Amino acid sequence: MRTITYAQAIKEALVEEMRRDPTVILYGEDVANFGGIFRITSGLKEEFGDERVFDTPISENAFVGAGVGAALTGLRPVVELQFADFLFTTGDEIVLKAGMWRYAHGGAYKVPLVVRCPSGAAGVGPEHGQCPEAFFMHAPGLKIVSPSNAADAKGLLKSAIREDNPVLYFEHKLLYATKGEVPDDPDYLVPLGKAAIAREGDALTLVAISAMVPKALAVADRLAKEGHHIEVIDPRSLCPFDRPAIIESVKKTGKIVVAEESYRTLGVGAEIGAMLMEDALEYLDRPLRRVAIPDVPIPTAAILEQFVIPNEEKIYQACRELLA
Amino acid sequence: MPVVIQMPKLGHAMTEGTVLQWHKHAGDKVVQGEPVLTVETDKAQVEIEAPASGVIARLAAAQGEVVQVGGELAVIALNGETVDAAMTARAAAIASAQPPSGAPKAAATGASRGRVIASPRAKRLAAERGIDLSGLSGSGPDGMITEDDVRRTSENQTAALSAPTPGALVPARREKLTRIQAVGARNLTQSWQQVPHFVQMVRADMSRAMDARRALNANGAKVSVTDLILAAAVAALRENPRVNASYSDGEMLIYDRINLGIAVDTPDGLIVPVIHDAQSLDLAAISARAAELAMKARDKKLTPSDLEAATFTVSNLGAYGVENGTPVIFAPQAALMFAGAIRDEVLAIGGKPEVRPAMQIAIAYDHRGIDGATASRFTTRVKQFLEDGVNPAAQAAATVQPHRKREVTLSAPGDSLRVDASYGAHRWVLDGDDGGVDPVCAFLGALGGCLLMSLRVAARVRKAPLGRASIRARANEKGHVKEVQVELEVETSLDDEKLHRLVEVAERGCHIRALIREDIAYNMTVRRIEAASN
Repeated sequence: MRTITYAQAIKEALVEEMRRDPTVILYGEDVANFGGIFRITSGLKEEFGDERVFDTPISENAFVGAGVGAALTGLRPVVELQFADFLFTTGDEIVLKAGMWRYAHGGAYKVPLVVRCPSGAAGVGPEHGQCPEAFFMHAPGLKIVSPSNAADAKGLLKSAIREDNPVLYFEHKLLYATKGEVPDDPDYLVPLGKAAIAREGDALTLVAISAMVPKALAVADRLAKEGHHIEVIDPRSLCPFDRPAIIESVKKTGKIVVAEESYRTLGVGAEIGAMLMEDALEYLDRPLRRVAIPDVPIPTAAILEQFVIPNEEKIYQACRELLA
Repeated sequence: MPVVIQMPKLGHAMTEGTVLQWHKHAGDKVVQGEPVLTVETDKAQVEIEAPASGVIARLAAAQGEVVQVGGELAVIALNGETVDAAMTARAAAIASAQPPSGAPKAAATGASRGRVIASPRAKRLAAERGIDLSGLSGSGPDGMITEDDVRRTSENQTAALSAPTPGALVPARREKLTRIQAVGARNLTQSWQQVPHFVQMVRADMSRAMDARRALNANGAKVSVTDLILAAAVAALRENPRVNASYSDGEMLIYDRINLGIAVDTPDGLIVPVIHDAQSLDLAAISARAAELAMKARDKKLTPSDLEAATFTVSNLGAYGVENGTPVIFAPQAALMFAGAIRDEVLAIGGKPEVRPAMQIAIAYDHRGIDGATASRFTTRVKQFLEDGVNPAAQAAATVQPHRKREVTLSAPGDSLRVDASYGAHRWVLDGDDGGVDPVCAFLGALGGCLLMSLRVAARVRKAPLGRASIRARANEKGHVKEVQVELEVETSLDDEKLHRLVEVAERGCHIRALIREDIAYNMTVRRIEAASN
């Protein structure tokens, strides 16, 4: 297997799927001539031509809406937002159109749309640094994935493009440069709705999402040295959510910490807590602990940003508390 | 202000109760009078009803938890009150009742705050392994008992049990006594240790008693052998009041009221419901009351008052085939009577051996207040009543005349919608829940029954051929009766016109039909059924 970056993995997925299926098209702000704000799409216009890869005006509402239309009429558009935060700008098209129209038209149409959403705090302040997955988990009809490594980034994007329902694909900005092994197989897919056990253990279940996964694995290493072998679960898909994976792990461990880069209130951790109340209450031996952004905007100043974003130390402390 | 449901004092001696089952959860709506939970006291399981309508704001105790009398069980936010507002008001009420701050705080253990704080996982493991959480101290946050705490205790216990002595006995499982069983164990220990017992045994020839019973039951009564024994006990107690008594600190407390405890075996253990004031009941009434109590015991509907203030207890284990035994008194009662199985035995009757149904009776007495002679008088009197066929009560009841008075007596025990109806020797149950006939259906029964009788009478008068006849009577499903539909099926060779006339006459002659108001839609259909082929 080759070792490539998370960014290269995303690009490979796009290229392979565009070669495989001529109905896959790609557009967004600066994706064609500039190669994308994070340089993911450089060279794609040259290979696939400006009918399949093109730039749009600065109106998320317009071009995501156009994506819904293209999807309804038989194409498989991949639309790139420069920042996941702009999902709020195009909320009507995402929530009310993409999410609902297949249902609203009695299944007469499919909406095979992928919206790529660069997420995460990276010194870009409150309006460009969010991980807004939880907001959209609440909206019916949308599938949501948040890969944490290069292999999943590729496999999930390819599955998302082949999916007949709209998928919000959250790619964390701080993961672009991270490297990992990625299979060569052009049909390597990661199924939507299936969690990964990133590390097996029985002392505690640590659920980590997106950029929290590498931090969680570091915490697991540190705890292992102290004699606590914890299990790290990467849900990968937030919708559909792999409930059994988490329930089974908690049945084994009785303790759970959820680390996420969303706001704490009604975040992914809150939903996981509700699932446990419903399906695993009698297996819990400690209260649920959530490590998340306190309910404040993400500051621009680096030191303040680091103060609110969950880091290794905060995750470690939450685990230690439950392991005491 | 929210309404708080507290652990009620359901009996004189009650100090605490166990929350057996919640019927409502936090957030559920409740209507006044709806059952919210079942509480188990030392004597009975009792449903506690909502004192007001609203929403359950909070449940203060978990299932299985023991709560002191007066302790908080649940808080109801009244209609129009939000749950938050109710809880705030409640918190304020509690805060104002708290001792001043600075008062020492209870040490954090699993049992602090009067209830066991344990993680759900720990509770599950404890239940699996039969470990009592109340004795454990918790190592979790706020003294919560965790899985590890339970596991440690369990391993220590197992180690202790499987430790040194070879052949040590390790139980396969532990079964905790139910609260009723536990209280019984305590009381019986006390009785056995403190009451000097002596037991007298006699054998009674039951021929006449059994004849009396057959005669009664042939007249529609449902008298059991136990009922006869109860009646004999009452009659003998009336004549020997010193047996209907309790010993207390140098004196005998002798009672006028004969409150008869009947030991009843239930899946939850032995329960002893009480027939109060049996001195004023005849055999039929004792029989009816005993049947009612047995049914309530089976349905777990006994109230604490059904179980209190017995002065004498009868235990009939005859149905189990046991012939004799040495019973233990339920202190403070002075005596307890045990009846065995009725078996054919060879008795010497007038100098000759004869096979007779015979029963052995063993009566245990408290020797502190009853001497052997007093006991003997009572014991032989019981025997004599049974051998005489439980005269005079049974004879009186056996000669009951057909009852023709248009009068029904109904009584509501008060703890449910149940109503006991009686008409002469006949008894039935009306119930708005599902324990008996609901009133509308009782009316439909009266209507259909009366129509069929009326039809039969009309046919007799006219000498019209009429075989089987049946009615299905129906009313609208709910609420006031607005429609009545009667489907009559008759087996007859009458032609259509004559049948029509006969039915018309029957309807006119039916007293119940005449009660149905003009504005109620009444419809009758008539259908023929084939004569039975043979």
